[in-house]
Amino acid sequence: MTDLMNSKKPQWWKSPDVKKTAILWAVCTALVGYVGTEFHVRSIVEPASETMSGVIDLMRIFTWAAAPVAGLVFAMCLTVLTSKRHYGDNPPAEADHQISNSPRANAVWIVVSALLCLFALITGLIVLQKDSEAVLESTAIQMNVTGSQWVWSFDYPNGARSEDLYLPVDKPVVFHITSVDVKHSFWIVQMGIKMDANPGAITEAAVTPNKIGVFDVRCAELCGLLHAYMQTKVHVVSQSDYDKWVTEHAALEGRA
Amino acid sequence: MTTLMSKPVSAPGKSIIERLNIVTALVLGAVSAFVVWRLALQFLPGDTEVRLFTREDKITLLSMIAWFVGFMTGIGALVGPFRWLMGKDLSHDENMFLAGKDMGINRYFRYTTDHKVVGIQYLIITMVIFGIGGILAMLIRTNLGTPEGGWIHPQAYNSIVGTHGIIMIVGTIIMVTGPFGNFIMPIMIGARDMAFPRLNALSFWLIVAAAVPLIWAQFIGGISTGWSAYNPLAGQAPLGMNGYIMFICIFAISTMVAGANITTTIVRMRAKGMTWNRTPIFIYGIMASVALALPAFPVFFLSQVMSGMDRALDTSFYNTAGGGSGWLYENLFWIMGHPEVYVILIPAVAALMEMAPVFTRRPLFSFNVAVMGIAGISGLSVLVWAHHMYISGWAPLLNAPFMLTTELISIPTGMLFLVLVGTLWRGRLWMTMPTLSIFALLWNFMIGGVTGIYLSDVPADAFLHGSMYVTAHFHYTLMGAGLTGALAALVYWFPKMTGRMFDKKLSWISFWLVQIGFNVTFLGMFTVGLAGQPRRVESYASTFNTGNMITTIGAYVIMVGMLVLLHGVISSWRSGEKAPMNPWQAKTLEWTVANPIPLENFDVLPTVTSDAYGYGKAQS
Amino acid sequence: MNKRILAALGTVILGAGVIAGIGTYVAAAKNDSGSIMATSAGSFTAPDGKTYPHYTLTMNTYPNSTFGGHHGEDGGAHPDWVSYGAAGPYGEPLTDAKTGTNFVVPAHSAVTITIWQYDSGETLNNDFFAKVRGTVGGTATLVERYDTKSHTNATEAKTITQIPHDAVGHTFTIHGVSSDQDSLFINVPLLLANDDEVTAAEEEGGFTQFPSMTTFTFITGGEGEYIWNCEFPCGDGTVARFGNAMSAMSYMSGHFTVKG
Repeated sequence: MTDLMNSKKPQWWKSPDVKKTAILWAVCTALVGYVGTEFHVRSIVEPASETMSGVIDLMRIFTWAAAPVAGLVFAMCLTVLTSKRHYGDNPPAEADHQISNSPRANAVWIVVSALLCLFALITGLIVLQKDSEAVLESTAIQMNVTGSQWVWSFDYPNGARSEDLYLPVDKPVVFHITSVDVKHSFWIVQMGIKMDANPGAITEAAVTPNKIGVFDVRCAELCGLLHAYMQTKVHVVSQSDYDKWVTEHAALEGRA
Repeated sequence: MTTLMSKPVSAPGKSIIERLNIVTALVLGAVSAFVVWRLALQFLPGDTEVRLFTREDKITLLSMIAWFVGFMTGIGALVGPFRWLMGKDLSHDENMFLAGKDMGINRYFRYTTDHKVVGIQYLIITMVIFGIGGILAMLIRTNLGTPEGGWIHPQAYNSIVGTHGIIMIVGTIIMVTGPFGNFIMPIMIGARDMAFPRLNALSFWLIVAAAVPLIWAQFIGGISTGWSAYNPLAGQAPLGMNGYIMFICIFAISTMVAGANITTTIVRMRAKGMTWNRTPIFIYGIMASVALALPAFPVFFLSQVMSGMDRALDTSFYNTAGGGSGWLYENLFWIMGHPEVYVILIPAVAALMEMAPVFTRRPLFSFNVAVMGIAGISGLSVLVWAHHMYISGWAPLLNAPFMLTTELISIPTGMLFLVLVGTLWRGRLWMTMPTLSIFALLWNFMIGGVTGIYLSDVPADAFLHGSMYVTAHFHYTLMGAGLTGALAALVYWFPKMTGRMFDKKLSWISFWLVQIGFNVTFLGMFTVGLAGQPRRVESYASTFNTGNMITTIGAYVIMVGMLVLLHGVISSWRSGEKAPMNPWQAKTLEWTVANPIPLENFDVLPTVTSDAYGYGKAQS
Repeated sequence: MNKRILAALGTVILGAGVIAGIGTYVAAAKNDSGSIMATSAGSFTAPDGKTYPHYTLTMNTYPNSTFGGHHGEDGGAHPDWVSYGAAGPYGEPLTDAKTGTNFVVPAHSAVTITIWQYDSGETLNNDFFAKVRGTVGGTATLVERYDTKSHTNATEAKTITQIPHDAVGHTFTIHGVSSDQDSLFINVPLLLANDDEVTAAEEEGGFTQFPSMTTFTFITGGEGEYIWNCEFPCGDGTVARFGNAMSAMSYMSGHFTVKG
């Protein structure tokens, strides 16, 4: 049934094309892993929270986990492509050996892909669990976010309101998100959180910004004519600057 | 009963069937739409109070339904059922007429039942759909060439994005099962026609009937909601939304009809001796695709009927203010939407799996694993829909289980990779455009698949969802893998379908242009997605300028490649080299019939004694 | 180059031409209303003592589009849609102005906008927009009834920071993409005009004699592309009343460009 198990033949791993593939496999795996992670890490935004750093780490891990599989497929393709090719209008002679099946290869492939799948799942679940717990953090700032076509507005616990978001650094914040019209999606790009704003419902997302600076909020769900412009800035500032800012702005709203 | 049903109708002179064709259909459709529009305008009561939707929505929907009924009557879809109701049936001559016997070019413009005619009709309409969708893609990319956008009106841009999306989805759904599933599949299994030839004609003409409301929609405000037409946004869209609703409803019926027909044909009409073990893998791909569509499309149909009822009958299925829920729409939509991507992908990959043994001159590697992979994907794909809703807030507790099912799909998908590389391994590579396409598929689908793993992961998806990264990902799967397979299938089966060889040089040129352009386009799109550009925006921050510029240039390269391919199709079809019966020396049954193929394919139905992959000698 | 390749090249050129043609058609169909440049008006001294070049803009909001203007004669395709439009110096409708809702103002300048609001009103979807935001001092000057016949204030002008969220006719709200351009966010609610007078005038095919008049000033930053829209839901017959006029440029929205 298969030549892999035929003991009269030379051992299969000694054949030249297998050796070539093995070397190519190592090269392709390294290339896929390196280029893949660099492609993502260089393109992706600078993280401004643990959550976002976690996303980038996940991509790194997943890319390297997938690299051997992709590397093997590409290596085998390269070996095939660099061996004898036939051009012309008539077919070449038929291949005179036959491996139409290999239960061992099938089993190895399926078991390995199942293990990789399990690994991805567990990695994801650990991070997911952490993110889900963050919403319950009792010391967090409770912030109300409202999506209106095509402007975000924010309500702070002390009554301040603004169209751009001010947050203190290193302090957990929980966003309670809703919409007054259609679906929007509240995305703080550099903090790696996103949650839909649904009319008639309140959804929650949590994050702890860990870097002082100016970041972006964008709407990530098509919400009509000016969806592209439904963006604003997030200012992450020190706790004292934040306190000063919210006090001033609560006064502006007449709610100090 | 029997006497009633089999009593033939003697047809003096031209019977009604012979008078009906696309012209009568268009005329009757247009006239009915106009008459109903006038009547509704006259007699439909005005709005007595301020309603969520206006009277014009009702009028538009009624006119579109009238178009549909008029067109289908005019094309002759009702003749058979009507005769049957009268206790008569079609005569033999009429059946032969319907099959398109001795009719030349005219049979392509009628309610013709021959599966080969339907296959060619599907091929043409698929090409038209890709042409329109491609033009819209060029408009999108041109508008995104500069950060300010604004070349096109933003609402028109939204409508173009939506129309591009929905018609490309429809185009890719039918691109393999339509032309090749209808033309090639029955011959491949050794049958004389489909199980229900008239349903076959029905499924095609329903698509033509569906196209008109979608075109109509463009002139009454467009569908400014993206292809997903999420409610409540759809409730803000102009009258064009009614066109979308009608389009989906009619197309869903077509898919259901085709699904029932193709499934029955494959299960019941395989040649003697073609056991499931000897059935070509392409047949499995077609069957999995249409069988998946069977549960998926009724849900899509329903979701749009409810959308239409909200607009025309003041129901509140999706309107929050009236007690409805946008999440309900999202669920219904994605219960169709996720199986649907595999409806697109599986037959395209299966087509390449069918070609791989032919162009490597060796057997398909692990036939059973291939079948398991297809079955596994089909089974799991109905259980993953809510991964489109991880961040919708609908049910955060369900994120973990849906992450599980989604990631499990990577196992059967991996099996398809194994089968393809296993078949290539130590093959005698015969370099043709389909051969190259196998490698292109492995490359593109690998990128599409691995990026899919990031997206399946809930925390990573919280960053990536709704960004250009997602857009690039699904183009890698549906276009990079799906369309690549379909184009290879076109070149591969072109000699059987048209009797002429596809121009080799043009197929190579277009292959390289499309593949290089494709990778430039969507690798560029990945980078802007990672940098934080949302989907479906008509203008963007200037930081995304470079990536978008690269994407736009890549898109123009694809355009050139596709136009070369179009030229290849037209010139090869008209004046290509005459094809021998079996130019690829393949072993499936469709290559055993002569060119041109006789009306009933086989004089004597074949008997199958082995699988179709017996290339090379066994060495053991 | 053989003949087949040349023929294919011909198809490519033909196809590209067709696509370019369709693109031109679609782009032309956008029916852009052209841009209004701000008028120079000397200099402006801000409360913090800094002096800026001063520019002004005037505009009207109408309960329908029958004033013509950039929508064309009789209001164009949707005469019943509410609309912004170009205004004369005393808030008179400019019926033949080809420009309407796209504005261009200079960078690092003070811009004073005056809006005559001829429409009735109701409640905002989001009361956030009932407050004046982003203007100099966070205030605007409101004349509740302006007499367009005699060009005088029928009620006294007063400085406001907000109006009741259920008495809003329209709003003028500027915002932009979050990018390396300076942020610019302005929101000014415009008081409704008397409902009965609006209806009565509409039945006679005109506009009320007593619109509300709101004036406000803001300081622009560097160059940038912004958008403005109305946040009052005035697209009747659609979900959240944000369809129709709200979902089409040059009615209740437009471009707002800050030029260097």
